[in-house]
Parts: sequence; C-alpha cells; structure tokens
Amino acid sequence: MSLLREIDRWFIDEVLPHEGRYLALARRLTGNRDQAADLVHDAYTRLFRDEAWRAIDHPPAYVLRMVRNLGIQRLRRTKIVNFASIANLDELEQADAGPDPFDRMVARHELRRLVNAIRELPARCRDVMILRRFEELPPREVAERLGLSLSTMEKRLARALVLLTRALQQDPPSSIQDPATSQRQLS
Amino acid sequence: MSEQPPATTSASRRETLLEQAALWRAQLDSGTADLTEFERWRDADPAHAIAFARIASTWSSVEDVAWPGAELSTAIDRGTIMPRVTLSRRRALAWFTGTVTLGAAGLITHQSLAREAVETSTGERRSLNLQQSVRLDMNTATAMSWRASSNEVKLWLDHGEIAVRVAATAALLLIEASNIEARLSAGVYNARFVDNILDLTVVKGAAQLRGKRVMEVTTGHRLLAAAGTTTVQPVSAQSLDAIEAWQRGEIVFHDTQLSVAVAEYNRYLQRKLMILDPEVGQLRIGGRFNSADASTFLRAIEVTLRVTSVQSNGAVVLVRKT
Repeated sequence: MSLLREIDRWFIDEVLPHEGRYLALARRLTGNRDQAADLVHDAYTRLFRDEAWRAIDHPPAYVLRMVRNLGIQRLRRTKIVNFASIANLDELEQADAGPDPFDRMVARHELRRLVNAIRELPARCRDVMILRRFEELPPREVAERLGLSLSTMEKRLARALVLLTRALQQDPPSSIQDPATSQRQLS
Repeated sequence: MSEQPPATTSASRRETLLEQAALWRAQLDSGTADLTEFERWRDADPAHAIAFARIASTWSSVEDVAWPGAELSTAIDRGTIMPRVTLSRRRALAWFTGTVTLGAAGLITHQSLAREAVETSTGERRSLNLQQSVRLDMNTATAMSWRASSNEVKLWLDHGEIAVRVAATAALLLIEASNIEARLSAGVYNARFVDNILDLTVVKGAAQLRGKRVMEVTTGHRLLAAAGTTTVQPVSAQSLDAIEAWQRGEIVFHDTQLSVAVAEYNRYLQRKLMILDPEVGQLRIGGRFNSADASTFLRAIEVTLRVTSVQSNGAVVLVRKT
C-alpha cells in the first residue's frame, strides 16, 4: 500500500527538490524570509487545488513563474514598491529555468546537510531514527529495545522527522542560494 | 489566479502542520493510525498535503544516507561544494579600462595658463588623472575645464557631475561652479551642477568655501546652492550610496517621485522619457537600476505601477495602463 498519491510523488520528485530556487526568488521579491516562505507555500497550495499539475511540462519553471506572479500581486498591494526586488527579474528566471549543475550541487549539499542534521538530533530522537531507518527494526521492537511505549516511540520518531525536515528547509549558504545574484554582480 | 489575502499560512501554522504530518507518518509506520482518518486529514487542506509530502520526502531521503557511514561522511566532507566567485578582479578591470590619462598624453602643460576643456556626451562616462594626484570621473552630459600650475589646480564645472579624488600630496585644488568656489583638501567629493542647483557632497575630506563668510563642509555633509542661497546638510549613508551610484553605472531611487526619477534618468538617455499625466508623475518609486539601459526600469514600473511606455517621435511617453 502506498501512502503517497500520484500528485504527492510528483510534488516530491519534481517540485520540492528545487525549493531553494523558489525561496531565493521569493526572497528577492519580498525581502523577508518568512514572507518568502509564505509566498512559496502559497504557490504550492495552488498546485494541489486541482488536476492542472498533470499538464505542467517543466515544474520548476512553472512554480517560479507562479511565485513571481503572486509576488507581484503582493507588491502591488504595498504602497511603496522596492524596485530592486523586481529589477532583473527576467534574468533571474532565465538563470533559474533549466536544470543545471546547480541542481547537482544542491543535491549533494542536501545529503551532507541531512547527515549533519541526523548527527545533531537529540540523542533520544536519533536513537529511534537509527534503529528504525538504518537498523530496520520493526517499530514495536524499537520501542521495546529502548524501553519506551509505542506511542512515545512514535512521538520521538515524529520529532526527528520534523527536525530533519526543518534542517533541510533552511536556506542554503548564500553562495549557492541565488546564483543569479552573483552573476548579476559580475556584470 | 484569484486574489488572496497575503500571508495566508503563517510560519507557526506551517510548523504545527509539519508536526501533525510527522506524527501521522510515524503512526502509519507502526500501523497505529486509522487510514481513513489520515486521508480525511490530508484532503481537508492543501497545506496538510504539502506538510505530509515534505515529511514523506525527508522519510525517504533518510534512506539515501548510508549509516553509520563513516566512509560516506568523509567523502562528503572532502567535496568542494561552494562555487567561488571572484567579483573584485572583474570590477577592478572595469574600473581601469574606463580611465583616460590625459596627463600622460601631454595635454596638461604646467606652465600654461590656458584652460583645458573636456566634455562627456549623453550616456558617456570618462575618467582622467590630473598631475597624478587628482582623479576626476565625469558623469554623463558634463562639461568642465581646468587649469593646472605647479602649485594649484583649478576646476570649473560648467554643468553635469564629477567625482573628485584628491591625494594628500595634491597641489591646492579649487573647484568653481555656480559662482561658488571651494578649496578641496585630500579626500573624495561629488560635485553636481544640474538644473542650476549645485550639490557638493563631501564623501571624505573637507571643502572650504571662499566668499563673504568662510564656511567649511565636512565629511558626510553636502552643500546645496541655488539662486543665491546656500545650505549645508548632513548626508545619510543611504543618500551617499545614491549619490555615488553613477560611478558604478547605477541609478538609485529611494521613495522618489516618478517625475523626479524620470528627469534623473533622462540625463543618461538619448531617447528621453516623458510624463504627460501629472498623476503618473506623482507615483513614488525606489530601486537600483542600470543607468545605461532603462528597459529594466520601464519594465519595473509597468509590472508594479501599471505605467506602460509608448514610443512617440523619438521620445518614450509613460502612460497609465488602461
């Protein structure tokens, strides 16, 4: 039995891996980390609303365009517009449009981030995660071996998942966060 | 796309949903979750589905990590991941290629009392070194002249804008514009005389005004003079950045009226921008643009202020989008 629907798989495989780019664009549009995350989330929400996702050829480019349009809608509602945020928007999108070495770089970076994040988990969460996912012990056995109730074990596993997800969501270092910015500074 | 209130999902709500999704994932893993309940939860809101997809993605990524994986970790640590971008060298190159050293070409004769004149056309920038100790950068549409003798260099700014860098070893440097004469000590200055307004900004150093009463303009201050009145004001770091932006080929606005911004941009443009509707002129903008190319600026005001540009007789007219 698969817990993931088609749209979930598509989202995980095609959309989510490029999140750093959407956030970088959103950050340029909003100038603010929280608002950028909101903007990207808003775009995701629209993807899940109907079946339109099936017709999307190039998901990262599509999401970038959506982030841009939603961002501009928000900019219009503000009184004083900071044009720095949309100057060179076209170049930014072009720089972000296709698959490139940047993706591989991010993938490697994420794996490293995940390894570090697992190392940094609180010991009680890390033990559960290691026994369940690496030692592949069945959940009840994990609980038994650690002397926990099944429900406590689930809570610790869930906590570990939240912490790891959060670590993966954090901004990548600025040098790879927004390749278009560094290109712009060169010209 | 329908309009939505901004920030529909706050960071804390996303965090809560992530926690719920993770608990679902753990309970589904142990078989203690009710599948129908779970699906009802996920279908209730796209935000729930997104949170669960994130957790599911982490759940499967963990499988990609070999553990305890001492070997893997070293390999990762050894990897060179960060691209190195060297900005300084390119920038430095751009800076020097623009320099024209007239001194070396013999245009400056120390004994001569004749004034040498130099001009830039619209959109042009030029740099010159006078006597190795004074460096001038001329902005677009600028006309000036100078006379150098062994103990004094005098500049006349007829119109336009110049940046002046004076070394400590420089001869006495005088600058005259709009009937104001200032003596510049070692430092960095920006002098602008456009539309009969003189703006002499002391980025670093001191400028002593000669006249009926002696006045000194010090670091971080600007002298504004128009129609016979003068005032000295402090300059904020933000304004200073805008004042010096032209030397980087940029034009910077901070909450500026569109009419003022257009007038400023037109100093650099062959094809001038025009505003006919006073209401359009009163819209306010801010931003950092390329002074040589207005296309980004035009696009920016189009997408956010809904002011579009129409070509007309060699000018570009800005009108409200209908």
